[in-house]
Amino acid sequence: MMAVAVAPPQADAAEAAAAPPPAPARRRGWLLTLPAVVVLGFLLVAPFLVFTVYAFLKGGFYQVTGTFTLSNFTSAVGSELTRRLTLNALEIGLVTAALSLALGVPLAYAIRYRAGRLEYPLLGLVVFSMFTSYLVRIYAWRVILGNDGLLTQLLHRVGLAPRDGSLLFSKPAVVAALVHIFVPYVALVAYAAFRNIPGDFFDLAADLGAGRVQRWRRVVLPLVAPAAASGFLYTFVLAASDYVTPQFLGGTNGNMVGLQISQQFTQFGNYPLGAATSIIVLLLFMFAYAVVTGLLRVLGLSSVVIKG
Amino acid sequence: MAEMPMSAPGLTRRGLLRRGGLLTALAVTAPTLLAACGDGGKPATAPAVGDKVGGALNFLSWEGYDLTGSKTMKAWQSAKNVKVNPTYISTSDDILAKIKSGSSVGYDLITYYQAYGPLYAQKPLEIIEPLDLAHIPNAAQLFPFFREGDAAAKFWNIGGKQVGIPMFWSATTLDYRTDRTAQPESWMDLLKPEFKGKIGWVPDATAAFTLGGRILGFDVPNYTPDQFKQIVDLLRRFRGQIKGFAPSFGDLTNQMVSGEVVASFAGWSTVGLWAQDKGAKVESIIPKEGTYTSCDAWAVPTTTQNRDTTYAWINQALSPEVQAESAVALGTAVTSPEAVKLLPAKQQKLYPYDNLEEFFTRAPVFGFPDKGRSGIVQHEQWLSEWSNIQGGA
Repeated sequence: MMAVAVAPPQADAAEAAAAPPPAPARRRGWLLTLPAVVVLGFLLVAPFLVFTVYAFLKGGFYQVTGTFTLSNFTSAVGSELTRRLTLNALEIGLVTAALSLALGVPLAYAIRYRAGRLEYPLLGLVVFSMFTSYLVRIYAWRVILGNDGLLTQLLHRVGLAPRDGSLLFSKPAVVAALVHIFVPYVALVAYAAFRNIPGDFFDLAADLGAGRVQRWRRVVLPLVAPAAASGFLYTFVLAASDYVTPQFLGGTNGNMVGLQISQQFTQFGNYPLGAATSIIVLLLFMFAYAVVTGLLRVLGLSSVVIKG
Repeated sequence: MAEMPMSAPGLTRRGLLRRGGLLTALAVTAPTLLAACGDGGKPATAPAVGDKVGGALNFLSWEGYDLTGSKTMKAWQSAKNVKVNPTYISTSDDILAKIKSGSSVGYDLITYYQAYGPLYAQKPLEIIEPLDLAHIPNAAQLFPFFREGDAAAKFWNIGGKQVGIPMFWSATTLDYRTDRTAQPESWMDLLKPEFKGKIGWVPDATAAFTLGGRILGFDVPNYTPDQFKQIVDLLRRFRGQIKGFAPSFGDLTNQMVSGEVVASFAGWSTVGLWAQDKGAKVESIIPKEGTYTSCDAWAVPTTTQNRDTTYAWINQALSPEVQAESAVALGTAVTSPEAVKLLPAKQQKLYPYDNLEEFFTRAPVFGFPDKGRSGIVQHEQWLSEWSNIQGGA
């Protein structure tokens, strides 16, 4: 049997610090990262800096002046509409991320450890499901949740159909579509984590007397937690910032702040206000990230590596 | 009472409006943009035009307006060795931004929503040049409405100089399922309780405030603050009737076909055509309060480097065959009587081509609020207030 040990990452990091790679290898490493650094620098960092400057300038419709102001931030924070749409976004993002995690991790576990020879075909199906266009999947939900949709008809038969006859144009409709879109991503991230955990690890735990629940709580969870947290945050950020799905499925109450930001740029021409709102949302996302990673650290799940 | 069976303004109509909304914003801020971009083009008179047709034609407008849906145009381009290099815009401000950006591309051809004519043609922007109609003989074949009269003088023949030639137009309509509801007589009928949650609406600030003013009988688009408030209140009531805004007219069509909605506010007659093609019984009408028309026109920007070819291309685009084929492809109406004869029957019936003058009294073309005029609400306030209405604040 393969020898397996779980070591805290700090030990690994300390090792790495003690034995840095030789200079030529470091140079090669820098060279390899150079294209990405250049691309990100020009396409992400530079525009973001411009964006940040815009947020502090006085603006109007398709005009930006050189006058410094904080009014864009005070307007965004003071707007009841922006606050409501932001809360909507955070709520939908969190619910979507939680449901995607609840569905994606067990799916990955089943594929990795329970599917046997079907492991790779099933994995292929998960990947294949992502080949479908984003809009096609949204429209599929329009069909499912619409007046004559499968689910609506089913609910009709059991007397649970909504009073206005349709499940469309609501927050749950947005969440359903987003979960459908993000479950494969979470499943793949979790699967990648499970790939590093040998199957007999669980047998070992069982031999040592761990029951089913204990195995999940004390073995599976710690090992998959970092990947699951990544999947959660990834899903949360993308779902909360989505502005396409809410347009198609959200109705008048299911809109999110992303749509408002996009309108500031494309419809109302108020770049500074759009930039300021974006920065506020970005800060909220960063806060959410800090909370989740902090929580993992408190729970002792921040990172675990397998050495074999 | 509503009648006016319409049906076809296509992709474009919304385009026109949506574009209008964005364009409007530009109109409001043109001076600032100008200041940032430097002086505009020069020509006060139409530049000389020759007959060296061929080569690249740099096109800057909406997808579809490059007339790829017309086989006659394709054949002409092939015969004349003309290659259209399209740059598609996603918002109307792309036109001004790209032309003023000092891009290495010398754009030869654009279109503009009527309200932008004065902005583009006059100082300080002056980004489009006067046209020499002697080199665009098909322009003389257009319906009189598009060549002469108040609307033409305001939007296409500005200050006595022809700067745009109308090509695509359509009217905002009330579309409804004939098998699900009786024909509405008034836009206000859509506020009845039975329509709650059954109204479709594609959000567009300019469209909403223009139509709102029409419904209340105001002097569109120059509203007093009190009138503006009344329009805002009215639009909020219409918003209360919908479950969600449709992101596009294609989506609105799907919602009407599925029965998710049974009527539209600020709709588009092409929705009726598209829905009928999908087997749904949808008619597009103009309610008793009237509506308005949107129209896009060809224009030659001052950046052109292939003027001869651009003129020839516009002339060919205005030919009856190309107009008719494009109208079918895009769902828009045509601007020449000869083109009407070439339209399929159902598209001919969309508009009363035999009496357009009367039609345009019920569905006029409008500009933006008079810039700088005191006592009226400016377009930027339309946009600002629309943000709140759409968001539900």
